[in-house]
Amino acid sequence: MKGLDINLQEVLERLMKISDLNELQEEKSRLTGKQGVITSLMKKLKEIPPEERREYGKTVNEYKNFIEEALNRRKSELENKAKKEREASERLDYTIPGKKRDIGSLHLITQIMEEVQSIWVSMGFEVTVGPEIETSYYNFEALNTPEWHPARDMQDTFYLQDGRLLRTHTSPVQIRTMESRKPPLAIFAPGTCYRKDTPDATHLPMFHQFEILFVDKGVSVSHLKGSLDHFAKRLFGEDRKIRLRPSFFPFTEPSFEVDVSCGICGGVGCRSCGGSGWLEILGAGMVHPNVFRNVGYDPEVWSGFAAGTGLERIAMLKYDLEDIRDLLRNDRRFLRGYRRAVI
Amino acid sequence: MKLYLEWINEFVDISDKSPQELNNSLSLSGTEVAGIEYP
Repeated sequence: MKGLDINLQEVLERLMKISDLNELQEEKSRLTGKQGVITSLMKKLKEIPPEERREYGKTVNEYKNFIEEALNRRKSELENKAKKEREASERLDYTIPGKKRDIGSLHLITQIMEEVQSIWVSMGFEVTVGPEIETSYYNFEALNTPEWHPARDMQDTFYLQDGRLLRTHTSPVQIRTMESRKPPLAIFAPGTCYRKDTPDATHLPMFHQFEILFVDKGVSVSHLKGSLDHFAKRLFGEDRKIRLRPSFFPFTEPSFEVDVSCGICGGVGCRSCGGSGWLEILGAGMVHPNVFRNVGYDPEVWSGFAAGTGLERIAMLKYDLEDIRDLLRNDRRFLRGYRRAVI
Repeated sequence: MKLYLEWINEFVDISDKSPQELNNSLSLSGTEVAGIEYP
C-alpha cells in the first residue's frame, strides 16, 4: 500500500538476531516509540486521501499489533534464556562435601613456654625480652666471657658481616635490663637463640631458652635452690627432687648444673636416665661480681642468682621425646599428639 | 671415659660404697657421672 514503506519480514529477522534485552529495548523504541516508525506512519494519516484513510489506518494498526506481538515474544524468549543461564550458573549442589577446617592448636614449644612462664610469673618474675641480633659486648664481654673463650669462636656463633651476632643465649637480656633499671629486680627472659650446631637428635642451630635473674640484697644459694625446687615440682610433679652439681659458667660464681630426679625410676637409676637417677635440666649460679660491675651495680651491696635452660630440652624431658628435630618437622601426626586446642 | 669400680678400688677403698653412693659423691664434687652400666 502506498506510504507503507515497511517490510515486516525484515523487521522480524532483525528482531530474531537481537540477543540482548537492552538492544531489544532500543529496537522497540525505534519501531513503536514516540519517534518510532509506527508513530510516524500514523502521523502520515492526514496526508492520505480520505477514501484510503480507513484502509490505511487499519493496516498500520495491524502492523503495530504485529510488531508489538513480535517484540513481546522476543522479549520473553530472551528473558527465559537469561533466566536459564542464571539458574545454571547459580545452581547449588547440596551433595558437594563442605570445606573442612581443622582445629588449630599451640605448638608444643609454645605450650611449654607458656607453662614455664606462668610458673615464674606467679613467683613475681617479670617477663622481659631483648633483641635476637646482639653485639658481642652484650652477648659475651658484659657477661664476663673473655675473648679467648671457645664459645666466641666463629665455629660456634653466627656472626653478621658488620661484626654483630645472633645471640647464643638469652643472657644479654640480663645486661640490658640491669643497665636500664635499678635493683632489686626479678625478671624472666624467654626467647630464640642461635648456635652454629649441625642438627642432630639433641642439637638445633635455632632453639629457645628462658632465663631468670633475681637481684636483691643478701641473696644466697638457698634462695636459688628454693626457687628452682619449686619450679621443678610445679613443672614435673610434686614428687621430684633437684640437686645442684658444681659447674662453671663465666657469668656466675659459684655455678651449678641443676638435675631433677628421674621421673621413671624415681632416682634409683634406669635406662631413661642413663642409670644415674638424675636428669640435667638447668644451668644456674650466683651472679658474678664482674657482671654486676659491668652494669654499675655494687657487688658489695647487691647479690643475685640466675638460671636458664633450653625449652626444647625441657619439652624432651617432660614428654620423653627422642629427637629434638621432631619439634621442627611439623609433622601433624606428631603435633596432634601434644595438641591443646585453642579456644 | 668409662671406669670400672674395681679399678678405682685399687687406688681408693670404695668397697663399702654402692655405685649409687659413688655416683652422688662424684657428681657433687664436680665430676659428672653420665651414667652407670651394669654389665
